[in-house]
Amino acid sequence: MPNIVNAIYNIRGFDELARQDSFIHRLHPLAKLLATLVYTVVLVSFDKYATIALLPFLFFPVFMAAAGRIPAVPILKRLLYIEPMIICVGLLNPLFDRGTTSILGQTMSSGWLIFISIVIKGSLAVATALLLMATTGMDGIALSLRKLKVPKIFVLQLMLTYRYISVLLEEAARTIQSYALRAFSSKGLKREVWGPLLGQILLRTMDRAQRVYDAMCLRGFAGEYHIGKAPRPSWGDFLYVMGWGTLFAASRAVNLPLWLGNLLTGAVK
Amino acid sequence: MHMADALISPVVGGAMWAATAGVAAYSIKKVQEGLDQKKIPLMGVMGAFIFAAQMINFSIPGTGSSGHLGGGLMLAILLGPYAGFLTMASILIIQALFFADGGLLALGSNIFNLGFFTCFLAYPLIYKNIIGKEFNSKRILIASLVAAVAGLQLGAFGVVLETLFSGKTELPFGTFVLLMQPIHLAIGIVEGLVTAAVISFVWKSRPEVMEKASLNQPLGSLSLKKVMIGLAAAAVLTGAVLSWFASSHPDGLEWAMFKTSGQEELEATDPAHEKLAALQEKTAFLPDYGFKTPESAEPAGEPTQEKWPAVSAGTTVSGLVGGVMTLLLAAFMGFVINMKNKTGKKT
Amino acid sequence: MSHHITEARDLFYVYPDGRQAVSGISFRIHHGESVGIIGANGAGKSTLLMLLTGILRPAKGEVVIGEVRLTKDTLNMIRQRLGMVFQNPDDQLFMTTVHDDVAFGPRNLMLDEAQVEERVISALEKVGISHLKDRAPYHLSAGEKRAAAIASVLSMSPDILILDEPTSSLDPKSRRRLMKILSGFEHTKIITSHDLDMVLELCQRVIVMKDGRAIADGPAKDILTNKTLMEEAGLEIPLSLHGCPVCGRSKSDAD
Repeated sequence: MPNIVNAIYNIRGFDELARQDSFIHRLHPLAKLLATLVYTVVLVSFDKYATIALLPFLFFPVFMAAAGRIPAVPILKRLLYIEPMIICVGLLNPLFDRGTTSILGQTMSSGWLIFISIVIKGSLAVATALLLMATTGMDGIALSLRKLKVPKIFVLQLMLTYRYISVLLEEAARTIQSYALRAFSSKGLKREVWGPLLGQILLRTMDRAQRVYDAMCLRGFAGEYHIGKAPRPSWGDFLYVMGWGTLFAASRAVNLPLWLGNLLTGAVK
Repeated sequence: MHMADALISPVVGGAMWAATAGVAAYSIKKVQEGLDQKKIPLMGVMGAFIFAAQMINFSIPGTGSSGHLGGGLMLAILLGPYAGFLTMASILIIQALFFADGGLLALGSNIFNLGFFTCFLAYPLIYKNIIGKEFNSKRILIASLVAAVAGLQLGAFGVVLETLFSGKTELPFGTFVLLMQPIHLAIGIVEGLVTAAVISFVWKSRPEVMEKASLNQPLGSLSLKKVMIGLAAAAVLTGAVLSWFASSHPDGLEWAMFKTSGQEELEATDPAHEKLAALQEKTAFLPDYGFKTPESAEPAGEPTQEKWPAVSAGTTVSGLVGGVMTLLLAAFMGFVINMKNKTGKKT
Repeated sequence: MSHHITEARDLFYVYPDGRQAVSGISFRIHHGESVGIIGANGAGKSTLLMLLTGILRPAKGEVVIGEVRLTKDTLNMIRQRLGMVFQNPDDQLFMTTVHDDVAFGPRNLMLDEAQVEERVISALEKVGISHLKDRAPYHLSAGEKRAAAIASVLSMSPDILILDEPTSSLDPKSRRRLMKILSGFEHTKIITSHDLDMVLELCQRVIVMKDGRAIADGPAKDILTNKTLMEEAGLEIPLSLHGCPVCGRSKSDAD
């Protein structure tokens, strides 16, 4: 139950954030998607022992959050939710990899190093993906998919799924609630009701699909999905992607924090 | 388990994206050829249904714990393999975007692991063969169980292979397999039982739905099967070869990928690299430390201990100071933009 | 625009499970008429609407809209003249924003984007929800959803509006607003409802259905005040025609 309610609020929360207005929100969705993709690819291209070198990759999500006026709390909350899984997989490394490695002049367990690297990479990738959603929204994603020449039928189907998730989550929540009120248990559905309970919702869903189809046909749907004109990306959008791309490439090529540290400690001397 | 961005390398992620895009394009073609417009809203709404169903806890008899539904097999049974695969893809896309399950780069792998194996292998080869020509509760149960378990085992093995080829962890192959497969046996059993319960219910209360679903299957399914298996084999093979190559020359291949996409940019970094190095040598108090990021120092595949340049304690200080400075700078940037936002609002 | 006569000629429909939902209905609805179709649950009202819009094909009989018979070939042409508002707005609002939903129909008519925009704006204005243009459907109240569903149909500029239970699940204020909007339309209106007070207010004519048949067809005032007829159909006289619960004085007496 709390699962379902959380999911509803999570999706609607992101939808709300995406409807705000800011510099980031006004960027072309495709530019944001591409920048995020390039970011993710460069980030995960780092070696499994990379740690300090990953830190410059913090700039991008911080910039998106600040310029997009996205509050940190919902993003961090979601991050905490995901983190256990990343940590679990990461923790297996110190267990299996008992070797040591030297980093920054210190001897360290290489397993732990991998663990730290995985946690940093995972958190950054997750935060950035969430920020993309919080500043772009599902409509923006659909728009970029079309720009990427994804077949319209698939886009329509994706958007229908998105549209009805809200409706079906509510329906499932109501059904489970009425079950829980009579089953006096919050542990989950007993096996006897798996089929009937889920099956009922399924049949209602199929009836709904039929009505949705009817509604579409009555308004001229004939297998083809016509969408309005999509805005074209501007030079600003292009520069946004290129600018960040250059920064990512530079951070990939040069261990910036180490360089900065050397510069500073050198200057102190 | 979802494959995660933190565990995947760009090459493996890219290869799996390519494989997934190929299967998806083929499926879209097949669905459109089916000329059944009704399927589009049905796929859309069914996707939402599976999404909601995934949130429900099913208590597992005799264990006190609870399990969840994945839904791939159920979609294949109710919509057929092509529409089922596309619907599963939509669900995973939305999950990756809104819940950051897995992440963007790992999305291709996740769609492949959770969609392809169930819809194009487990469903046509196992489920349909066991069900045969007539439905009954027992057959539905056995077919769902075996197909769900097989599909999830393949998916889990996919995760293992993708993780290993990515080389972002140090898990030994054997241990990882021994860890993943049994967990997914349990998950597969729950999946099979829930699927069977729902399908039996639908079959009993509205047999015409099931009949229609099996009628909607493409006619030449046999030859298609071969095509699909061929496609899968090709994808796995390319992925494997590329990944093997990647793990033996991690930087080489990834840099090669970058070069094809943004050559000028990349070449420009090289002289800059040297200039920076020279500058750093002049200013830093450890001039003998080669300006090399640890990860670009040596190709991986070598014993890890040798990989790291032996440096003195001085680097520790610089590394930590630099790391802290980077964090502070990032925080400062966020702060400044926030301030600007606020003053901007006032005016 | 002159003679949009909606005609049902001896319609029959049997569901695949053998249930006879509509058995021999005939009527003629003239341009600009506002007709209420009432009857108990399962009387066949919704099936009738589906037959009129061509979602279902009659087993026997025919539907004629503006002198064109509803067949597979004329379906698309006829559907452009009919606007059907579903009972559950969630089934009808399948896009992610109100704007896209209202634009869905005009875009399928292959209008250019400027015309589409014009139609969307005018449809939203007609139902008074221009300010909700960019909202997601789940953001809307029940009344707003209903208004959006109506707008999504109005943007197709239909001649005939068909509404299935338009006032269900609305609070009194939203219901009143909706009735005001509907009474402002000059379209032919065909409304099914259990909200008999609404029918009394909006419709001049009423068709009473029972077991798939029309058991009465006539002026709303005559039918809705006919106690025996209403009870036979499993209905009751609209509340507004009941006697005052305090003083017992009947409204018709007062007239």
